[in-house]
Amino acid sequence: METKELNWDALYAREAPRIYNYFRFRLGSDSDVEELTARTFERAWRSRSRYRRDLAGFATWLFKIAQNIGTDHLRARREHLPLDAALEVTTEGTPERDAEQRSNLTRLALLCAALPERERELVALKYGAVINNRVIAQLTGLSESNVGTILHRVVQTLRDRW
Amino acid sequence: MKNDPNDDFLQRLRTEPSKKFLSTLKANLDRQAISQEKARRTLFRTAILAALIGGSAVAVAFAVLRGSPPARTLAHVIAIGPQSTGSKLAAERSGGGAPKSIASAAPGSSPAAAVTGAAAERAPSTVDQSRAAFRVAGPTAIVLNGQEISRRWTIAGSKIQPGFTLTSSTEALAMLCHARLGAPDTGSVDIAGASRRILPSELEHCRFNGVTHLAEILSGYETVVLARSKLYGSPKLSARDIFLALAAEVPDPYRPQTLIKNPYRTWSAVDGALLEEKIEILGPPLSSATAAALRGTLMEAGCATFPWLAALKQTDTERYEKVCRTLRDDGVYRERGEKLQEHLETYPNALGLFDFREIAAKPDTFAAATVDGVEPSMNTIVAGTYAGSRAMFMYVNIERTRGNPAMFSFVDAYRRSVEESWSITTLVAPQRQADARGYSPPLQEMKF
Repeated sequence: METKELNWDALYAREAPRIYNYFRFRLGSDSDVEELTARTFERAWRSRSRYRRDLAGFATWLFKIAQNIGTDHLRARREHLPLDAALEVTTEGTPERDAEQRSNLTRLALLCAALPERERELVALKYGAVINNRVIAQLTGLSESNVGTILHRVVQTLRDRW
Repeated sequence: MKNDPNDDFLQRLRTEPSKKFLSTLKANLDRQAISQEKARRTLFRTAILAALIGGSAVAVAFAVLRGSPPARTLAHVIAIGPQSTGSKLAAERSGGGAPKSIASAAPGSSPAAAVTGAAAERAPSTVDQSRAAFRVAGPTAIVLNGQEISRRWTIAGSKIQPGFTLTSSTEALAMLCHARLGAPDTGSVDIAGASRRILPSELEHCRFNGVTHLAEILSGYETVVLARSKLYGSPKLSARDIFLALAAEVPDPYRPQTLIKNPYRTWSAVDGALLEEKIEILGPPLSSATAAALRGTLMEAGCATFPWLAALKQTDTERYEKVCRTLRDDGVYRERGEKLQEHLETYPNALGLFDFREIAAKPDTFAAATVDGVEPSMNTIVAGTYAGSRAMFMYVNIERTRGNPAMFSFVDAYRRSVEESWSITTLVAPQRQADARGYSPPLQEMKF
């Protein structure tokens, strides 16, 4: 297999911020995001010798691991959404911008709480992970056009309530 | 990503993780990669060493055996006969419940190297073949195991093989109890396999027909497991989820006590708590022992969670069998190919159907599904808490054994295969844990 041709350092640099933001959107807070990101990469790195480049795109493979980790995490804490736990993590922005983002992320979490699970997942993949509709379709089992339609509707809904 | 003006408020929520976090994680991953490489090298060196030692041992054993009389030196050596008996047998299995005879292995098809041992030493040098013939009936796993054992453990010089009949547990026990001692009837067998213990009513039937001495052997546990790649962790399913995902017909959620063709394509449709993932299960052919075990364990357990379907077992057995044990044929369950492992690694939603021993042999490759919160393990299998497992029994007409050295040898070999844990088929040998569940010790006669 051609795993030797992959530049894992470059893949890490490219994918880590996307995985990180996927979890931020998925959880609706910054709490636990670093831990889940680390867990995703550790699991992927442990298994990277078995990754088949000819069978799946790297992003598809990595995000499927992230999805499962996120789902397990959400199941474990399903009963309470820790909106107030988002104050400990430092990011690279200014304090003002960080505060604004935290506030907006909290608002997103509240709005998303009213959405079905599948739609929350689509928002996280599209806007957190910045994944295109084709890969989202592979990850969710939906058709590409269906992904586009649902996202359009969801964004409208969120926009109206923002 | 192309920006839509309407989604700016979402785009702005993205942020960069801290540099400290990224560099710390990267350092950890690099350390992990180095330790993995070290472990691989150690494993490789160990394998080479083991191969050298093993090769030497084989060479020495071969040299010793060549210079010794076979009957003594091969007492504990098992000759490997022709393989793929399982698939041949499975291909012959019919879907119906009627017994199906499997021709005894022809003398010419016996293993080239017959095995002799303690059992063989008890056999007479010349065997009256008509007197030595005996018959075995039962479900797939029992027959497969028996066939393999009879091939590996041939009576020295006799070329005698038992006749096998594939049938249900109930039918096999009926055939066992059908015989009157010494009667040359054609519908009876000397040994019956069953996926359950014999019932008091069946024992009574045996006694009525003069079959008064039976031995019970706990042959092992037929256990099936659904699993996905280790990359994605263990799926958490219920027996009901599995039934609804795999049955050809399922209860209509909108019309009580009505069945509809299975409409479920995603796990979330089966159970809202599960992911919106396509149901895709790859397993052995539907005619295999593993698929039969799936129908008899997980499918039935899930089916029984619907009380009105469970009640059919008493009122309409035929319909119960059809509903609870028929797998859908619309492509959701597919026969697995050679690259199953790669497929499961690539498609996280895909599950493989395995027998327990396959999974136990590759703990770093597959993550077994828990069923109703119970993970498959030797402990949960023996305790009877894992829904994907069932105990398999063999019942022997002891009176026939006494008059039949070949049969005695076969039973003895079968018993030893269980105790020494070299069961050949999907059965998980219980080793010496049988007593823990209160089963009769092997070959101890049951009293009436």
